[in-house]
Amino acid sequence: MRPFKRVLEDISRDTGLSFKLINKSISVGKISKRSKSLLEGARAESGQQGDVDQDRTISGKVTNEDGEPLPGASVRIQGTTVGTVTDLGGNYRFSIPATIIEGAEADGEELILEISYVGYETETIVLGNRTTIDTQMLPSLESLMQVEVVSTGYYEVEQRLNPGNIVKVDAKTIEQQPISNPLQALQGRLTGVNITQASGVPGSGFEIRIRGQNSLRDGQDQTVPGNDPLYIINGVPYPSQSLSFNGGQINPDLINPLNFINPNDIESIEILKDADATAIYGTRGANGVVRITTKKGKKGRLDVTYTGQVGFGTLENKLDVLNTEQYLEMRREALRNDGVEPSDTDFDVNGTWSEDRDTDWQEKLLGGSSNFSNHQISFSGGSENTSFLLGLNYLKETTLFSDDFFDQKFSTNLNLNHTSTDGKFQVDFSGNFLANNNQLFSNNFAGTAVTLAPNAPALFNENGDLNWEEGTFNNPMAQMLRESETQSLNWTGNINVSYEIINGLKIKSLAGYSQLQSDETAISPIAAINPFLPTEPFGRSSFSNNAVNTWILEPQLEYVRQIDEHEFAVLIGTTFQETTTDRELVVATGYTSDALLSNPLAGLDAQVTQFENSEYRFNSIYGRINYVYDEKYILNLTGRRDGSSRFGPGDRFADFGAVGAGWVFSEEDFIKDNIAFLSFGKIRGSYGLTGSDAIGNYQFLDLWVPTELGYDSIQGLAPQNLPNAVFAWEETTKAEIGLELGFLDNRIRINTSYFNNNSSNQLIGQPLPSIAGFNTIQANFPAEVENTGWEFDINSTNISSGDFQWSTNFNISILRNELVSFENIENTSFADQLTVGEPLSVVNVLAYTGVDPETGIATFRDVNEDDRIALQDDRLPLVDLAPEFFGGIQNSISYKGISLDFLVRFVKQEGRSINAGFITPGEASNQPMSVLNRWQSPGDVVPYPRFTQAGLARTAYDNLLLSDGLIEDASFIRIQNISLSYQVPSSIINRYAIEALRLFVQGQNLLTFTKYSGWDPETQSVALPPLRILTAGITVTF
Amino acid sequence: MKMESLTNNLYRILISCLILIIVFSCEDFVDIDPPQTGLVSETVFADDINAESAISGIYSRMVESSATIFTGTQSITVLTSRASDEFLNHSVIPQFIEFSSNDLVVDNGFNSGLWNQLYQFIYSANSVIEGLENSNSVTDSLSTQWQGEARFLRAWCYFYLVNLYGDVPLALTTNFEINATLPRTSSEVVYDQIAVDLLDAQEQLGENYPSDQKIRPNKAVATALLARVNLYRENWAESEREATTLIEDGRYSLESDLENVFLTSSNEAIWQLQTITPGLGSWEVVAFILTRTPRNISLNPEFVTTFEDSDIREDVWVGTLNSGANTFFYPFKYKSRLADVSNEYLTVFRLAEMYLIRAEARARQNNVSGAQDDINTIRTRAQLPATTASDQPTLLSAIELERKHELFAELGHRWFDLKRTQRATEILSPIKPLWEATDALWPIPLGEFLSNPNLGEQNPGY
Repeated sequence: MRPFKRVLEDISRDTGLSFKLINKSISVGKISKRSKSLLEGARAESGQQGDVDQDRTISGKVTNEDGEPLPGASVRIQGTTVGTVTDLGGNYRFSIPATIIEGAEADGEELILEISYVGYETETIVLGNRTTIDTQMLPSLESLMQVEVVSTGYYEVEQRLNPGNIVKVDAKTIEQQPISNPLQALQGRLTGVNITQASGVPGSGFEIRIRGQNSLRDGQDQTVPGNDPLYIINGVPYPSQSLSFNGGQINPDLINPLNFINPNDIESIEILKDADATAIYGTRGANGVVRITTKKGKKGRLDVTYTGQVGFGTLENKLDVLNTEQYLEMRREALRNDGVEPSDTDFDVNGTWSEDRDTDWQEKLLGGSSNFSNHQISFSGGSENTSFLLGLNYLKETTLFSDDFFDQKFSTNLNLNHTSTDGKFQVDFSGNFLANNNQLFSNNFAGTAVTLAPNAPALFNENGDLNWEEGTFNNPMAQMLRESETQSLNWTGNINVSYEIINGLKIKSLAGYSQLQSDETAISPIAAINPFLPTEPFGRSSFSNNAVNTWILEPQLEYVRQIDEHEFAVLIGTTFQETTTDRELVVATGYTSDALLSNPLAGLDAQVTQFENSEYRFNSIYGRINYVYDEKYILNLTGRRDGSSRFGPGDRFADFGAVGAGWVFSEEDFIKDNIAFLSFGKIRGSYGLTGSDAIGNYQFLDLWVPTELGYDSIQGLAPQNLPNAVFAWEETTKAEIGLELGFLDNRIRINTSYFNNNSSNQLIGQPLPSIAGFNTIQANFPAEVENTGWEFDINSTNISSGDFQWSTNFNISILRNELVSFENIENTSFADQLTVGEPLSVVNVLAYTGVDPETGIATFRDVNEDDRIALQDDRLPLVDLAPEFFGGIQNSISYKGISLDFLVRFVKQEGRSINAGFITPGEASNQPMSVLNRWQSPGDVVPYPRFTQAGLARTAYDNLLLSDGLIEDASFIRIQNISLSYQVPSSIINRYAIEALRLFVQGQNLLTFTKYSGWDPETQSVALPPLRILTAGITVTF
Repeated sequence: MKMESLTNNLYRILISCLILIIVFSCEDFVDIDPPQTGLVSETVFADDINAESAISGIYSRMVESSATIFTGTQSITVLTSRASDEFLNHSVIPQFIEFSSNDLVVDNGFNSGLWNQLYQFIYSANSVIEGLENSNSVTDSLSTQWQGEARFLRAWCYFYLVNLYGDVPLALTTNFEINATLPRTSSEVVYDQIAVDLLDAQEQLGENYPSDQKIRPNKAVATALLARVNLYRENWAESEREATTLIEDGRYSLESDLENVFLTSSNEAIWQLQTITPGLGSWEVVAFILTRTPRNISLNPEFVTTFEDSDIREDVWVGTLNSGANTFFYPFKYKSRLADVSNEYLTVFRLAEMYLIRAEARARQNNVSGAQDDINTIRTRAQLPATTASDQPTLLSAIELERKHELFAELGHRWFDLKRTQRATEILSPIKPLWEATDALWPIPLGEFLSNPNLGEQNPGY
């Protein structure tokens, strides 16, 4: 069997047609590259044969490896343009003109029927005298990689001819996972992309780092964290951080904006990593680009597809904490150690609370299960020129605590696509709407469940009311009354228009708009206030309205020309973008009743306490020249001049660019002739400069803002920030070299990349001491951060024999980060946090030297030998919290209609022990079981210090929290996802007028193997770990 | 074909747009207006109205909530009174307990709050001084008055810094490059700067208050602080002179009725901070007055027992709550929790303090009868007999006790008195098990050392 590509090449030679592989369809055109789909091409060509006598009709059915009909397959007579494509039932019928038959007979040749479909091995069948030919197609090995087309958003490129590094996850992979945030779908699947889930609370945050940390500007306290990638949804930039105005004051589990994108609407997520791929994004590409493309309509008969799945989530592990006996022992021992009696407020040990109670609070508060349900219906279809897709989706994930708290999304997705009959004019519209309703309460119980004293009183008294135990018990159930509700709307709409003016020259434009709106309400009712407190109880509510609006306009000219083996593509364009952010926070206080807490006017006082109205504008001109010679040698040049309103006059514009090159050496004759087992080989490299303006707006201005209240009947003004008018772009140079190999007809493919990214001119919110008036100032620092790494991606088709398919993907990323230089660091405020020559992720801590066997007090190395332990004097760069390597192993096995996919994700890292999230053992808070291994009497050699509440021992324990004593191996191997599905054979379902029916079960975060002693090695804290989710569902197509 | 002509037109439009856009793009597009939420510095100091707002903003932030360092439960009053012998602790919050037990840790949040806010006010004052000095468009007389206010506020904040922390960095500009790496300056030099600012303020501030209440400083307010600063620096003659200036000013007189001392109409008040929160009487009431069993602070019964029997201050200024078998006391100088228009303002300087300053300055200069006169002025008002103290040591003891009873729960007098007279250990170590002599200075917040390598050594004992 010949590879499909060769076949197309032959056809091309014979017919003067050219073929372009664009995702799953083949575009056929004259060599001029006029764009036409295979369908049109085939029909147009057969139309030209219309004047020939119909001599012989041939028909049949084409099926796939499972026996399912294969619509859209090309069926033709080899060496001619005579043929058709199969319909939705996989059937075909066409006539062979008499001239062809006669011609073949005259030459003494047999007519050969050639059936091809992207992703399948082309079948060739000698026609003979038959008039009916049914064929079962087998998936082609080569197609699995080679036909893949990726896009930077500005231009598409075949993966095999791509000099850059772009990785992709498609809809099929996303749909296999019961998730509510698209970022979850990427975990463990892509090289160089590290995604951490911070909490299992629905809707809450994810952190994504593409090839490490480039900017010193990191951490939650920054307005615009400097290491987030650029998100582009259908061409329109999208926010990376929670809109919440008040740092989680209303919803403590900040909602990640990606939560407002329905995973099921996504056709593909592409991650642009190297200079060649990201330079076209210029200033915004330094941390990589995440391109999300939503699904598009398909031509042909109306397809109605319903997918539904329901399931539940639970906690994988319980943390071992002390029971009442152990807890009281700890408390009493601490008091004894400190030489004090229980105080009036030590209710747990002074006899106020019963010592007979022993509650497993984790069971009580977190022992339930959450519900997961997802329903999606989509309508797709179209005519020759126009296609559409309409999708409706409903997704709801409840919490462990109660079904009354949940994250719920309703979304619609509409795509319309039209191509004029002459193929010159194209317009494509995508509109996505999502309404998210997130209902949580002020505390997600994770911390409470593990710290609450096991002998704490019952939650409810006999009447079913909250039990305050005479005011001694801060009842956690009261937190549930402090509800927070976030109503969010996300609108993105974009239109792509293109017109081919003359052969090869197209004028195009993208116009897009996105609006993200989030209205938060948090109530704090009187009922949630301990009625025994001395203060007058009043209700309180906060209302926050946030909106981010972005429009973008990108007119472009594109010219493509092929002369013999030389292929040129040139693009120039310009971008105009404006983003406005409007946010306000209203705090209403003094409610004397809980009845109208949602009405800000019902309290005694309502005030707008925060208000923001800011504008960001971005403008650039860019160009790209691409040259390919004979599909062997590739050169790609991109350049861009960007301007951003975030910089002061004079510093606004900067130039960025990249060069990428590739050599497909497997196309060289000397390779082909000598290394037969090498089916594909490419060396690629890129080098370029990208930048970042990811800082807050207006930071170069010294702004004075109104104070909340006036004084002396005069409105007050107060400085908002420290001004710095001269900061400018942060810059990252990226270099990469890659080797892509395919063996044994590409049954084994190995992609290797090495990169070296160097970030300088660091734009830092430099931490300042309070004596400067503010704790931070925006400035460029001559610091250099280097990220280097190796990425390996291995795909193997282990077995491909008829009904049985088994393939494996293995990926691993080994990243290294280093602060290469930082001039005069010792004179800056970074001196205590960063160390030149070490990764940015290294934290300076005290060096723990164990528990003093005589005193039972934690000891540390006294670095400056002043006989005093102080973090500021004695810290050392000892602990690197970044992963050493991470990756995943994905296996896909199918037999007939049964498919099993599972992903094992692994991370090698050190992390903070769970104990670091607890206060001193001995205080009125429960502790992990491990603290029992503590010092009790002189001579004890143990890992944990004596129980205490005060004095030197407590100060030493506070130091332990800041030391390497509570750092441990947090590596883990997790069965991240399993999907098992069964495609019901069409023979069974056809009689019910069902086109296709698939049954499936899916699981997420199923099992974790780790030595980590805490709750979860990914969150490494007392935050709620990611839930284990199991679902079952069906997909049915009518 | 219709579509063809449509698309032809479309592409012409697109091309025209593209050309237009490229020609007119760039510089102008990304040049945006300042946000609607604030004003840039030049605009603030371009006219009288906004420049006065800049001054008003400093006062506003000093009293805007119960979480500022001058008002409410985390104020200088509460924290120093916890650390001295004035208040008992009833809170379970460790960071409060640390103040009461003189067991502060270096990252105590309330301590950091004190430090941070004081330097924020200093930054604002520096901004106003620079803004006004560089502006030509603010009316000269007003500019002078406001610069005087800013210098006074800067001096007032440094007064607290130097007394709470000892040697502190001296930030006198808004330049962060200078400020961020400032070392600690000896407290003598800081005091010199305070004196310079106050002398300037005396020059720049008018005799009259800027508005019809005493809520922004006039020259007398700068003099009052100078009297106090000279007392603390043991410049007895200067201190006496400044105090005398105010006592003889004529506009101020002791209120014979103690109920009136903290009212907005008080004749005794020299400077008050306005209660600006709508509907609130005063934050002091919220912080102090007990309506149920205390959960935060109460006035130490040992403190209350030191009042002489007929001292009317105990009757008028100390409140009592009987809760079951227990009796709790609280400062009752400020009385109304809610008010449509507040008639009680946080009184920072009042004439009684000037009498006590002068008494001490005179005693130190061995002016026994002068000192007795001043003490007796205060005692008479409290309906107490004349003092029996008749030599320097007994006078100084009498003054200490009188200050304790007159000025309790008023922005740290007791704590600062114990500290400056070297009496803290003697008084506090018997009643505070964890007391160490080094506790008289609080620690500089840990974060400051992490971000300022030049800061040097922490205060001893931390």
